[in-house]
Amino acid sequence: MVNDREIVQRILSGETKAFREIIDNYGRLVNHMVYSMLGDSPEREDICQEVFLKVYKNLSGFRHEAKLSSWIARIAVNHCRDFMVSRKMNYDGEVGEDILAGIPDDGPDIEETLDKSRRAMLIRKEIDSLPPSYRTIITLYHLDEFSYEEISRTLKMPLGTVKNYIFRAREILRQRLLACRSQEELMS
Amino acid sequence: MRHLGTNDFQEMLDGERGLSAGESASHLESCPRCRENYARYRRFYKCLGSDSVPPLSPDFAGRVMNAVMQQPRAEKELIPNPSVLIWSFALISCGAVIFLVNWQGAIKTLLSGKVGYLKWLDAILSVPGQVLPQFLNTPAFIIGGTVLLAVALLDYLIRHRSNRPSTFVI
Repeated sequence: MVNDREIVQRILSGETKAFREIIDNYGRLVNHMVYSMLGDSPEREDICQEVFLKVYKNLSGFRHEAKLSSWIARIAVNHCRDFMVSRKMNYDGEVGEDILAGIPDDGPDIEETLDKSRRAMLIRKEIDSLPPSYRTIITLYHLDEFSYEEISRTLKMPLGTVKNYIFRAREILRQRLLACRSQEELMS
Repeated sequence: MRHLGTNDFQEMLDGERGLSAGESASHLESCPRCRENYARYRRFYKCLGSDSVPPLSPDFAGRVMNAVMQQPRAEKELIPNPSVLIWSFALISCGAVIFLVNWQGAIKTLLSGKVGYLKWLDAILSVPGQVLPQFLNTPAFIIGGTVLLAVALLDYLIRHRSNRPSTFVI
């Protein structure tokens, strides 16, 4: 795989078509970021496009001090936040402590009780119902394989907060998935 | 040892477990209940990695490229690194000020004639006792600033020729 530095150099030397490789390599990441912050908005693809245009316009300012993925994710986060502010949407949300109360450590097995496609759909639905900040962190960690440190730098959030949000989000998801399973059992 | 909870499992699966990693691992080996809970939690954890985000449309990259092609060409910033220039300027200025205040008369003796040559020779022969104190004053600032300026200019020339991003940052 061609490394990012080389692709950036080619683009800055005038080979604009090489930008296609950036879109191919990071389209999924930008899509995840935009989706996690805005949900399945009809404007999602337009916003992803705007993010890539910003990446292109600012590419000469990229100093290779961070990974290109972190830099692009940061642009996506800022762009989505600006969009949310313009639409008066709320980004930071907290989940109440009561949600986490009384979750047993040895609950039933989620994988055994739900088939794969149903499970993926339920997980998506439950992730979508989390506050955007939790959604973004969970998505970056589990789908885009960012480390705690990379998430902390990308979202400009203290490392402890990132870890705390990930732990809480997982527990909320686990509890909600277990609740879904119980509901299905009652219905059947 | 107490039974392990979900926080312990999360730390273990994230690879964040620190000093107590060995303790937790040995507990897992000896406790069937925790082992079963851990296996269950690990399956849930793996589920979180299933990508169910609706993908972008297949023509997305083409549309972005069309928009990109209409933008002015992205070009490397080819000005010398500003931080290097600022440091060079600051060092040279400091040196120049000290030089003007203290060395106005002495410079002639140092740089010209036999006396100046002998002074330099004496200084060099008594390394480091006398050379270092001398260099720690004015020349150090001027030489440091000039070297930085030269490096900044060299960096600029290399980037200008190869269009490569600068890695020289202070």
